[in-house]
Amino acid sequence: MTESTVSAPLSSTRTLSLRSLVGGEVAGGRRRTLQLVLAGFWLLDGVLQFQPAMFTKNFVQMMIYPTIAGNPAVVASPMNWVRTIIFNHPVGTNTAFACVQLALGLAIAYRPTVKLGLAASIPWAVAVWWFGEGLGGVLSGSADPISGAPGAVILYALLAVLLWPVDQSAAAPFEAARFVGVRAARALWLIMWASLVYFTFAGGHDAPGALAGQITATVDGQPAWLASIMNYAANLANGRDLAISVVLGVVLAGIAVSVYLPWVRVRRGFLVAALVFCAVIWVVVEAFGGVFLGMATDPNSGPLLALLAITYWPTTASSR
Amino acid sequence: MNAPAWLPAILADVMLAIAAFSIWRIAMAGVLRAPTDLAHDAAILLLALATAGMLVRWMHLLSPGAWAVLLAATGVWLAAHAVQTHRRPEEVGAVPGSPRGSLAAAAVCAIGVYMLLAGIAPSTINGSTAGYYTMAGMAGMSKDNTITYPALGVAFAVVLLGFAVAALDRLPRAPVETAPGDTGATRALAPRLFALSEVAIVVTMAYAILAKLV
Repeated sequence: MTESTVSAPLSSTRTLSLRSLVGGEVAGGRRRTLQLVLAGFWLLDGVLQFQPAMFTKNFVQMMIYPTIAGNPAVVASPMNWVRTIIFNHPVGTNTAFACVQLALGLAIAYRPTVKLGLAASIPWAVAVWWFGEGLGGVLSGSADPISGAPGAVILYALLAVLLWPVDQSAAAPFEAARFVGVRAARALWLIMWASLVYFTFAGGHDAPGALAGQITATVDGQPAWLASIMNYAANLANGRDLAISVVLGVVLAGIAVSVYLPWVRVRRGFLVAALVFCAVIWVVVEAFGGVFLGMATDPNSGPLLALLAITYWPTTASSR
Repeated sequence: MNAPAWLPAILADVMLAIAAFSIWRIAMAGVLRAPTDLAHDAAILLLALATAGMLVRWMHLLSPGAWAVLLAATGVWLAAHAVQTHRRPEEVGAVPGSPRGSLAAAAVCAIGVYMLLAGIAPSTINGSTAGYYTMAGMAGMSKDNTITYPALGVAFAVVLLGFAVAALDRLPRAPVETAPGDTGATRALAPRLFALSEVAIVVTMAYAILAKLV
């Protein structure tokens, strides 16, 4: 096999077989680092899924069951079917879930199987998004950008596509554009962040006390230092829900359209704003994905949105 | 809460197999006079046995304090070795092992010390809560020994998983080629399997931390 064939992007080969997903050379550099971070997230999810609480019926009753409510029947009925299976076989199903996620992380981290891992992670993430997260509350009206909308797991699928191994020599203004192209990458970014703008104002999240209530609802059981940060933030937000929603909506809208701006410095500024947004919601509202409570299945959307933002960071070549 | 009994048992068995493999490597290095990083092998041996002891009661060989002292001493040895290799590579000469690898192993030893001192130990609950619905606040049923400094534990678990990902990324695709004049020692020491053993240990250590958060 010649080098050019090995390193050719998938879009140019037009074929996707199991054989084509294994082997081949994977270039190092920034893109590989981002793939490894994604692999780390999958590995973390796999290990979290092995926590003792996940093998109990609490997992399905406390994590999956609440996400069914409010979804249309076409979405909720299959979710109920899956919930029943997990409820009746919590040990077997959870073992399978944990092993799959562990395998995805290991496959992405190992260079010869990176394509296989990324490809397999897409349908898995979509399935978990539907059956485990109820499509992130997008259709039920419960989606909220500060608490994980549009569902952390769907970001794994998006990142798997954007970080697909390609020829490093292919010029692109940012990493996310190397495989899908600049137009598609920008459109995906716009859709993602514009949906967060919509969710900011939909569902009554700007009602008085809504934000503070949302923060304090997850304080119980957190370490003292984190609980004090969250309580402080809740007090700060109390009574300012509408103002915070408006500011948040404007900032998110700016982030959404920023990829189309011709000025690199301005784009970088909005990407930094996106990273700050991710850090704040991850600590204050998502409480690190609830990892300290022993019931976390993933680190939630904060770090994944941050990883997404980094894939859109202008490359050195584009900033000249 | 308590995981299904088979889960820590399987992981402890894997740790035992890795310990046996480390002993094999140390013995083969002596028999075949192969250049190897004995401190690194010894660290893996100790980490495997200590981790197995944190997972199941039947692997309780030493007290946590004794394990902590052993791992701390090994970690300091590895760190000193890394500094020596970095400063005077010609003196270390034929002994393989990069300063970065020794430093990483030293860091894992330090995390092992934290785990032992933070109270990560086999569950005190009789029987498993797996498959049941556990009500919050049922003393002795739903709560397990909570580890000390959980935030530090989570940070260490993330570091361990990062180490696993980096180790897998560096794992060579093909088995190691025997160099001319090599008596087969390189293959007998199975460096790829050794690298995979390290990955298995750090993932298991991360599991041991996260399983004790509540």
